[in-house]
Amino acid sequence: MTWTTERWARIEQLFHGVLQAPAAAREEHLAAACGDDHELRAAVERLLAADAEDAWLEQGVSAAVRGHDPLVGSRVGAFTIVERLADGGMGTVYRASRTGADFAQEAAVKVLRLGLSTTAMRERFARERQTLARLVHPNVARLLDGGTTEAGVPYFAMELVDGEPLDRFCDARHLTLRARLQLFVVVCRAVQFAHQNLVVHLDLKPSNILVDGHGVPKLLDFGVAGLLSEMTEGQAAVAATRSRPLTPEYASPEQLRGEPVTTAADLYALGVVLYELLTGERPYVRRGGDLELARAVCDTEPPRPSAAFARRPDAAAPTAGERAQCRGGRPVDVERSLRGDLDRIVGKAMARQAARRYASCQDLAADVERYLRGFPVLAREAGVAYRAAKFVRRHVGLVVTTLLLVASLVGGIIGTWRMAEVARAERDLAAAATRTAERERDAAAAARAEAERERDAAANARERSEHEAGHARIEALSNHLVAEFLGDMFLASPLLAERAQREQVLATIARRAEQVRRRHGSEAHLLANLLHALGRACTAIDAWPAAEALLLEAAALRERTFGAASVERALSLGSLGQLYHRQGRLAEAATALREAHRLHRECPPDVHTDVALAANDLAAVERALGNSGRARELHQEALSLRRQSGDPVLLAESLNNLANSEPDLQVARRQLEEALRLRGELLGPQDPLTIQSLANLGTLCLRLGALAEARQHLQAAVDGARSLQGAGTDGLAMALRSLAYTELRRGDAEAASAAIAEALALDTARFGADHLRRAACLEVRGAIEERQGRWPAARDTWQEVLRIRSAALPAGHRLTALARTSLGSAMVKMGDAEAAVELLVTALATLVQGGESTAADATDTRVALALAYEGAGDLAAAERELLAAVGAVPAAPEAARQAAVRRHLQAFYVRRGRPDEAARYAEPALPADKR
Amino acid sequence: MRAARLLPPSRLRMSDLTRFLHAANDPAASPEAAAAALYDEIRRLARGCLRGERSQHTLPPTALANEAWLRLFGAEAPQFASSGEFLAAAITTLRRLLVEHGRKRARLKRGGGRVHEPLQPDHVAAPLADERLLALDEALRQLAAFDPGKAKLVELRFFGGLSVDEAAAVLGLSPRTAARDWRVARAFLRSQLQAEGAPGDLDD
Repeated sequence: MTWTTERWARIEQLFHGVLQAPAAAREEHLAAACGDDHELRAAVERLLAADAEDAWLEQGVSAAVRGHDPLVGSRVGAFTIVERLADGGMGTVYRASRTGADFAQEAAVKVLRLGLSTTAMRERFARERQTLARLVHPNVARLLDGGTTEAGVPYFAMELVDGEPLDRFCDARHLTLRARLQLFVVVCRAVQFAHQNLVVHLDLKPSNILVDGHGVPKLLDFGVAGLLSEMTEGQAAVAATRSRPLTPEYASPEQLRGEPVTTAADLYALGVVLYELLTGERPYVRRGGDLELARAVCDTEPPRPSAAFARRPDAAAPTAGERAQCRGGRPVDVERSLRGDLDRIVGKAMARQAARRYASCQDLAADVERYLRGFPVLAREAGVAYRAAKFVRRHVGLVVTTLLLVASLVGGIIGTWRMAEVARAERDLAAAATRTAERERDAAAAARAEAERERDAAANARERSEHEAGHARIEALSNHLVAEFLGDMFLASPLLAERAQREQVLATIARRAEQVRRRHGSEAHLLANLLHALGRACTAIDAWPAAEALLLEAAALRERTFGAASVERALSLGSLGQLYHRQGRLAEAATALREAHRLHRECPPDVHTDVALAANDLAAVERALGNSGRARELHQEALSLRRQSGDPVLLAESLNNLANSEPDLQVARRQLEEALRLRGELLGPQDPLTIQSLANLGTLCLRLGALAEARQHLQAAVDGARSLQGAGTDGLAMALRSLAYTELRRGDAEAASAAIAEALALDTARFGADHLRRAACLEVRGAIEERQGRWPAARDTWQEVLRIRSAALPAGHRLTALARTSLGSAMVKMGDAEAAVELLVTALATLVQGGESTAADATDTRVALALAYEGAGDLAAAERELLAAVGAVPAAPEAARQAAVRRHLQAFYVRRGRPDEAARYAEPALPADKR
Repeated sequence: MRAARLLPPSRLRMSDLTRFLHAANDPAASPEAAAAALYDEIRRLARGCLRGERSQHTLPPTALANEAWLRLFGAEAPQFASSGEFLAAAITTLRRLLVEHGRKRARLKRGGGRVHEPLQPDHVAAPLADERLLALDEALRQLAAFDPGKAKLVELRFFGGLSVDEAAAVLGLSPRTAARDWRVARAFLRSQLQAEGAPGDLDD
């Protein structure tokens, strides 16, 4: 049969027109269109009659040439190859069968397009096979067998799945959005299961997710893409191109850029699958080749699913009406359902930066379920992910907690800024760990490349580097697990500051720990990492006993596995030290952190270690113990290391902390101003760390006597910390304390009282009644009470300060002695001079020993002691102490104190009726006072 | 994206294709094996170079495909402007190879005085079902007379084993247009084969 081009065009047009008309109207449609042209009508009818699927035509000559596949009919392992099913980029899939005495089994045998040319590749293939064999899950096509064919080509025998690709399954059955989401959750959980077993897919797409007749989805080809890319990377020739099998439509930006990939790539692919299931369109419409597509994926945001649903990319695409019908609704309903939460869930899963995606497939599944149950979804909490990403940028390494100090106040107020934002930091740790894992995967890739370069070298050397590469890979993956655990816990509880959630989180952690022990009991390294992570999570929510138990368990495991001198043990000790410091257990904190610092310093520099962080943490504890000189050394060590590493955020942290140990207040001021500027630029003004530096600067101004400036900075810090809510609690308490003291110095005791009451409530709630943080607040309250002349109250307050410090600080600590001095003074005022003498003698004995104590400390105590002796009637002793005091104060820097002591001495002689001696102390002794 | 991932260089010259054609007439060579080898290469090339496809096929590491080319054809300078063009040429070559070979075998069967075996329905997918292949070749020639575009589409699909999406990419069509074209072309071919061939051959 032959026609002219025009005639054929008409026939063709009618053919399509009739097919689109409803069945009942076809006859009529055709009759009307053809009129008298019977030949035309006959031609169209003939075409219509022949319109059907045609296996022969569809299959084409592949059916013919397939017969010549030498593998068909041959045996591969236990299976006999029956026929060729499909060709893929990775290899060819065959239907195969095996028959035993009482069973017959069918399998899909995938013969990889890859040769195993080296021993190393064969070993890796064998290892991968073992991993995949453990992947037994109802929604994952099971690995039945694997090995190499007679020709030495590797193959996998997998469970043969009789099903339809996920998207076609949903469309063919007109599944509603809900039904699609439910199916999708099952898929997510299967992927999560694989991730937990250290297997990534890297080529997830609807055609790899088959749904059987019972509606059960099964994932195919797990681990194959990863294996293939790993093994091809090993080949020198191929390594140059670094080409990987991937499907651009579903590949994540990091895959397209050729960067190291992680489980986050699977998460992205699941996001694309979800997008397609929901809208019937892919997120990025292909406008050209791969390059254009990749550029779009890497550089642009796709339209939200709700917008994509309404759009129609080209005239041949199904209309929104048709797509809505496939989803059992009207276009307006589908669009409305997609708008909002589902848009956000897809957006979060497909975030271009891996760190901004869900932390795990588990989280994605949980959020979809939250949506299905009508709960608010976490994808709304965009801020968390954003801050996490930002956090990762500024912190190198897995261990991110920082112990930060605030400058001590005049009069001996010392405090530790509670580990800045630990809860937030730990939440962000998930993202940090992901980044670490990526880095370590890089390291694994490098190690692999190294292994390959050494291929021709001695066999021993090769085996060793192989082992290291494997180790690095396990490390990377185990970090993923850690990240997932933390992400799971902390994204699930974004408001950890709320006490109500604490118990729940703690219970989750306990359950997780039990799971981990069961599942990974035989893998000490992995188990230790997971327990360690859980311990740190407990630290973050102030669950101290649980935290200690978990961290100790991890530390013991690490010591057994890696030895006492290992970097792993150093990391455990570091976390324990931070916990102890936080609890106020300074002696134990110092022991742990000194050891951690020593171990980190002794580790070879190319091993992942953070000497600077250990030095920084230890410095905080040394300072709290009263070893300011040592603290300063350690901060300087950290600072110089961080100058080399060049991370400005860490540099700012060290500057900030060093300033707190700097005896020259003008130098300290410059350091703090630099820290504040850096943090403001890098983190923005509303970051807890920026606010911390601002508060520190305010406190320093207070020490310098610049009260107006101090008040301005501190008030700004208080306002900033308040606006951060839960994340700002720590900073808030610290800034309030300094502000209270500033108000007192300015003479506004009422404002001071209000501020210190709030700070005290915050610190007591968080740290308990016996913590040094509480003593620091009480110290300010005692000073206010003194100023108000409320001596009984002041006495009780000082008593409490003394109680806390005696228990928490080592014997002979300056701060304990100063608490005795204050208490003694209050007791003299109350008329209890004898008891005061005893206290003040004890205090003086400590303070005259020097060390951290200053001459001013001793002088103040001598004056108080003199007043006590006078009250108790021992005038000779009183005179002796006053004379010692006036002689001990260096006039030059302490003119005001010198003058005060002289006034005390003058008043003493006046009271005792010795006017000549009184006159001797009436005038300033030295012209230097005029300075 | 790196340049290395973009296109595998077409290293095949027309002379290589004709070498395949010669294999069809070379009594020493196995035309079936040649066809199978060429078909495999076409499939690999299709996956490696069809960058405009909207399919879900996993692309192979390009270097592996290159290696295969080198093994089969040796390192020779590319002659085709695009890999799509080359692919189409390779598929045309395969069609000619198969048809030539089919014709020869059909002649042998008839001229060799052997009893003609009627085709059974279950022979539909048998290797090189000559009669049907020749009938299809003829129907395709007819179609090409008034609609060469759709004839090319069928050639890519049937002889090259390309999916609708892959063929669309080679021809510069949208996948949906290609699917429509395939449907009407299929109906035409089926109606032609029904009219001229053995009705029992069609399994619908």
